[in-house]
Amino acid sequence: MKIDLIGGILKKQVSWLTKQGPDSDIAISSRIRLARNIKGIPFPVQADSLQLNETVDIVHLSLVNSPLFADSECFDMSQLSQLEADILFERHLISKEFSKKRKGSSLVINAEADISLMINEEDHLRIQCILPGFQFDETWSQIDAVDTELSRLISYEFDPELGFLTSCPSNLGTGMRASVMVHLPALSIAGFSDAIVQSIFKMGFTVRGLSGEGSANLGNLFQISNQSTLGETEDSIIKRLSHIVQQIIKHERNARKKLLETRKNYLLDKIGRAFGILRYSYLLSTPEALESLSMLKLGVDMNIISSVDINTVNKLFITSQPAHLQNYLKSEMNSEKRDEVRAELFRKTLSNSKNVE
Amino acid sequence: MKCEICHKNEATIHIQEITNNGKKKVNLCSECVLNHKLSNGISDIDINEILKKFSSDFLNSETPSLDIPGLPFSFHENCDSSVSQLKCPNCGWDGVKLKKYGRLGCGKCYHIFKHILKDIIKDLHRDSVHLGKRPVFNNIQQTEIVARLSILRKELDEYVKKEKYEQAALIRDKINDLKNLSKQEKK
Repeated sequence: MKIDLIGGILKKQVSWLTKQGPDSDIAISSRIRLARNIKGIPFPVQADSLQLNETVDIVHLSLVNSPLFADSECFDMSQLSQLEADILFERHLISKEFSKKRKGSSLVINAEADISLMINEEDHLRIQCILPGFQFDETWSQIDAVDTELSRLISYEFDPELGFLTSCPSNLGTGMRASVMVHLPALSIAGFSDAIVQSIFKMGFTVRGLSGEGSANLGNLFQISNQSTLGETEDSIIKRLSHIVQQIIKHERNARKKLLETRKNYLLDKIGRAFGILRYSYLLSTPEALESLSMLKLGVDMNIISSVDINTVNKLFITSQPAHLQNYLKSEMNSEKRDEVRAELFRKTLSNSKNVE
Repeated sequence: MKCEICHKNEATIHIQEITNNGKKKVNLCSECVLNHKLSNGISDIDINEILKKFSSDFLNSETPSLDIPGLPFSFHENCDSSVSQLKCPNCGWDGVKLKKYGRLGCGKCYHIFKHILKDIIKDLHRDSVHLGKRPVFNNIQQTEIVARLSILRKELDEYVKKEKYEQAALIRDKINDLKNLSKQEKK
């Protein structure tokens, strides 16, 4: 484990975005996080600065010899600028809440940048693993290994009846939140997205947008995650969630097929116009960019557009967000300037592509 | 009683020191303690202790507003009166904060607020008994520190042998931190 400046991590590829996983034409990423606390130390909300540092030390120490964290990087959150923290959040490597933390909080990211440890988030420890596509089995096996290793060296706050004790009772038990991000443009065009969201809620799961709560279904992106964490095994939670996700993937595939069969020109027109907007605009707001990008992604995933690489499209979902844009320009911007720079980013990135085939 | 330095303010701090000549009591006001570096009779350590006490009193007198996202659940109406009275003896978290933030202060809080949380937990989850993973083992912190120290010392030796001084320095700092931690634990 080495202590590094943030520069290194920003140059690193975001593995869940640049690699392809199972069902990645619809499922963008699978993510699992575990909430853990250290026995005997008050939770971060009630800990003093000494206790926060103690927590950081205990976790760091238990990682020193871990082969799972051999080439990991470690950041003191108080050394990060808000921009750097926001970039990590936009890359889904840290939570929104953690991006606001500074003194007494620390972040560890492994060499592949798919496992991150948030030390002193809402709980002492939030372990996260994020992989491309729909692959909960692999995501669970990786995070389970890290958690087991840590539990050999750290006494977790654990109650036989309530399981892992967390600052918020909504995370009790397994402390596990599993979520998958799916792209559902065809179901949205067909007008089924509201019904799907409602049925997901009815089955006891939660739906959020690209950046979590409040971001609605911008870009037809939906994050589906478990709500209940206590009273069933991790395996059973993952199975129930997987079952729903499989159904949704099936429905989205059918909807895409049906669109192509019954409303081909409508579909081509939507994709073509979206491509045009991204390719030739001089001002692009976040909603317009994400809506158009969603259509472009659909075009590429359905092999309607072959001149643009899918990785290029996926990356634009992240690089067109505010903190990434600010980093791209290397200066602060107001929202109009941001729309200008966002349009420039899309024009440049897509300039060497041909038209809809 | 007036402060023995400025002779104006009321003395609020009373320091007792044991010297060769017997006990000596000094009565000071808070301003003088903060403003003067006292050399006669009172050692620097005492001053540090006083300052520490000051800062902690000062911190306790303020109620800092916590940056916590909204309530993740709602409380049942029947627990209104009793909750506010409860306070966790381990961490100091109380029923008022529990109701305000929907969070707990430490693991022990779950016992203190047990009867209030019972219904909430039922509402939040599919069941109220944990069936998932269990930690490998839970041991006492002090033995952990000893074990970690020995691992780290080996690591330190290796880095020094390999002349990787940057990493070695990092480990050395961690060893020092751990030693300090260990001292605090013993207190």
